[in-house]
Amino acid sequence: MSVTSASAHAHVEHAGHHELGFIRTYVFSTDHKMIARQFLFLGLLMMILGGLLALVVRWELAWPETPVPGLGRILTETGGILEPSQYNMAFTMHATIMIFFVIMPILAGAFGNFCIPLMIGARDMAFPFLNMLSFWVAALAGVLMLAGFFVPGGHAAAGWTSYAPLSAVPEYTGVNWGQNLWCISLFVLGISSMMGAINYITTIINMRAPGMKLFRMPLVVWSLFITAILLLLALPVLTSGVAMLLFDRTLGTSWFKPSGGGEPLLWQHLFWYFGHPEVYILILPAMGIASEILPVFCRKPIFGYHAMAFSMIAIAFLSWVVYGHHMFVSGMNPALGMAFTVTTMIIAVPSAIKTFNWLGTLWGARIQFTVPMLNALAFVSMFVIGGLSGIFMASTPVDIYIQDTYFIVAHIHYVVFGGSIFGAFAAIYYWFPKMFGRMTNTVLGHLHFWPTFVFFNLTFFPMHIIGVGGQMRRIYNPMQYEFLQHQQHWNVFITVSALLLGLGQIPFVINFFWSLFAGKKAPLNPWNANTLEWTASSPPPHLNWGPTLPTVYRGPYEYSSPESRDDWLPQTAPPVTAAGARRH
Amino acid sequence: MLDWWLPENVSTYGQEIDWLFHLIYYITGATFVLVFVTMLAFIVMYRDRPGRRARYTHGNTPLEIAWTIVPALILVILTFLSVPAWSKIKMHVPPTDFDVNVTAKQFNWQVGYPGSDKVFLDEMHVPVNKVVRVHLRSQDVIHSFFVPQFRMKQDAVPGREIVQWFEVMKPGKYEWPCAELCGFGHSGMRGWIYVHTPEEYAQWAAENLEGKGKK
Amino acid sequence: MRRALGAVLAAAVVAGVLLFVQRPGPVDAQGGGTVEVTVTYNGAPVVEKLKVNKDTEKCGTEAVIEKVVVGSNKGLANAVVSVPSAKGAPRMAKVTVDQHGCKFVPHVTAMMPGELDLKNSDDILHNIHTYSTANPSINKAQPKFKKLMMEKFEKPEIIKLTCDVHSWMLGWVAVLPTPFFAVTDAGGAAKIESVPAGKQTVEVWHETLGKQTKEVDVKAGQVAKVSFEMKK
Repeated sequence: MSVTSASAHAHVEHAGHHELGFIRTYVFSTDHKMIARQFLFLGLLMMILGGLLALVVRWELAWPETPVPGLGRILTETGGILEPSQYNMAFTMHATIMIFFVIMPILAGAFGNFCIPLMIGARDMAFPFLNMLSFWVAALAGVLMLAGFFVPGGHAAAGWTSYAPLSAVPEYTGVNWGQNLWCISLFVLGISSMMGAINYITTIINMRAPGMKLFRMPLVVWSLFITAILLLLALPVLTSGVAMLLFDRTLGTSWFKPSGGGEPLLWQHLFWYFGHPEVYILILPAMGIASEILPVFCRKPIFGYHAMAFSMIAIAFLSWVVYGHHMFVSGMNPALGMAFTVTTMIIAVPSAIKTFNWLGTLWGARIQFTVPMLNALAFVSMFVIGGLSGIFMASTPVDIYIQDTYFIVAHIHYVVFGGSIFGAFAAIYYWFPKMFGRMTNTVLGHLHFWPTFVFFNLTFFPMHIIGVGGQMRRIYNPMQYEFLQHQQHWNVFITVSALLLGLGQIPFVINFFWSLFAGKKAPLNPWNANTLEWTASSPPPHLNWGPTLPTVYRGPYEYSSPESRDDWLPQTAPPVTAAGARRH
Repeated sequence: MLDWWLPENVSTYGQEIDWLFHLIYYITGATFVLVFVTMLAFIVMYRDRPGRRARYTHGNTPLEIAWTIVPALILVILTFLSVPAWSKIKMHVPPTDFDVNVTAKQFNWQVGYPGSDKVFLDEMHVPVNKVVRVHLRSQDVIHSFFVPQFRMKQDAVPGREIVQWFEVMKPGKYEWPCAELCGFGHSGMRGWIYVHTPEEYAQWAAENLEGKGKK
Repeated sequence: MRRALGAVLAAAVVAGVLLFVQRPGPVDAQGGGTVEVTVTYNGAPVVEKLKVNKDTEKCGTEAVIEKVVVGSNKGLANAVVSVPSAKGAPRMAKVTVDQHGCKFVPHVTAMMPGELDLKNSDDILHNIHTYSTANPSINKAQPKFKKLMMEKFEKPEIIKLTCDVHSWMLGWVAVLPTPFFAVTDAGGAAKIESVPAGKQTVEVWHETLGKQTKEVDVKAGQVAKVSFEMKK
């Protein structure tokens, strides 16, 4: 059901009559595009902090117990040397920030908000006020999370997975308010995610423009739709879990403390029941983005549109029944291990299908190596590596050895950095013209992409090697172990690569801000793409289109169609003859 | 190439784990090469050149079915191949008369033997070629009993006792780290497992375990 | 004018009275007597030995845990003797506990509520983990590059001191409400000086053998001898 043109007309007229002040336009805006930008800035700013924390972790691993450059002024007692408890805090907060305050805000928050209404032909989200709240609640969660750095005892230090009872009893870590704030912040963030999910689902179901059937929706919208369903169903479990953890820490309950009759494994079940769908929340939008960008710069339709949509549905469905693979050696009944290994192996199938379909899209194409395309290609290739390493862990006996080693850390980063972050970069370069009305600088785009791609691989591929060598996660000094000393040179290699990877992000920062103010003004459709957002101006005005909403006549990937002399055919172009129109 | 980095395996079931590891390594390696070569080939062959038009196709159903079924079959086979080893390692303890009690704490392994009150810190002595049954506990947080060269790992969970086993085929001194974040002393929490010949073990037991004769 | 003078006089009188009342008690050498305490134990020393596998360069290969240390003439070492009934000015000397050779040195430290210096003179990671009820417990790592840490103990209580990295390490911090205390030496003897004269209660505490109290009459300028025989 979409807004009829009569009421749309009235709505546009009405909107033209009030001048929203600075606060209502830039701060408490209910326009999905402004909220999208706000989420994007939140995510990008937090990425700087998350990245710096990673470099601190890497420094310690390469050169244990030496002063970390730049930390001398903060760690005054030790002249910049990281204490073991501070190291634990560094990797805990690195992961927490990257997952909850970088990837989710950028992919689900920014691109969910920006793309969904524009690409389905809606003027805004179904609930604009709720949308505005979802950003500010997320921002509040961000403030709470940052506050944890400044309290006595320091921030949470039990890992982003926060296993109990280490996290449930303050005495075990010496961390007090930091871990409490971690729980409260994630509780608040969960509320933001649930608000956003409700909005996305309702908007997609109810507000598509005339002709925008479900199977004419762009795949990025499909991916965000499915992601929203996962968010809606998974976040409440985390939210409840962190509340229970907070109560154990502050109110004397014993959900997870054996001393009071509680069960430590209950935390793991709750956490991973959320946690596994969460990792698909992190990757699905990136898959959608790749599926969106590849056809545009291959100038041909996505290979296997229906398979792509159904495989995402399959991944989402299966994501609920694989979570136990994080718990194979946890002490959980091993019979469950049998069940979870089956489902985990099976969930690899839809991802394989997607990879082959992306390859099929490249076959017979006319590939244009724009900056968004490079990032999308990086996504596909790095995701393959991340997915393949997952198969080792899916096999329970092999996981006995691999669990809690750097092999897992390698896998994680190939999928969330190689996957989600390259997907995020691809999306930023692709939609920047539409979002901000300016083109990004191509030279800087290459200067960002190539070092990122090269140093990403140099940083994370060797982690497979040291993981197979047995290096455990979350230790700060591998040299304490005789069996690890022979591979310490890899840790140095990885850290140097990581530092260079960090430096490689500088062109991106420069490009982003320079282009915001001085980039070439963007045309309506710089990429000659078919989807609806490119029919609105760059950037689109409030309410996205003029008095008439677009009407959709075909699917989103009609590139190089015989029906058109051009190599593209927008979704909104009326058919030349009704008889010749291909059914979708 | 990756498997050059595996530490030497000295345990019985470690052989099965290593076999599965290698199998998966070859399968994923082959897939990796196949996908990457194809992708690079396509990127080169199908780059944009003037005068070309891309091939307008929406997909290929038989191909779709093929590349769904083949990976599914491979993965199902891998699952079936994994089940026996898992069952053997985690679900059944072979009969044995050699038990050890291990209670993990921040940041040591406390080892005890039935019939003896003595507590050993961070060291365990066992005979070679004998099934050792470990009764694993924790007195504070979750730790993880990890011996890389035995391919053995099991989390120690407070509030419960978990029974695990291993059988080592070669005498030696094996490093025994903790593999689950347990606090600021997690890094460095490490014990040693000494695997002795039967004669050496008998001597050690006689000297160190009161009341425990030859085993 | 007269009213002002009267007010000043009244204030002076009040101040004088207050000063007289608040005047510090007879703590100085002239006022008090000495209490010499002998603590004995008839039983055998209890010493546990444990093989050490961690940080052996600093800790050695064997740890010795002395639960009951008996010296010459059955003297019991490491017992804290105090005169809780006596009040006096706080001691100024800094109290230090060192983690040296993977041992807390001294094994038992007595102090008044205030700051404790914790040293790490070993070149390895140690930890201060205290077990207490009145004072908040502390669990902090003391890495090798953090040679000195300071902690505050505000409430009188006997606090257990452990190191989680080297779990045989055991120490005790007795936070006492009085400045009159001492720890018995290897021979079981302790001397407390300048104890206010009068009937006082002397208390002895030992980590394994518990507590005992005795009444003693302290006379100024004289030595009052007290002996305790600890039992299991």
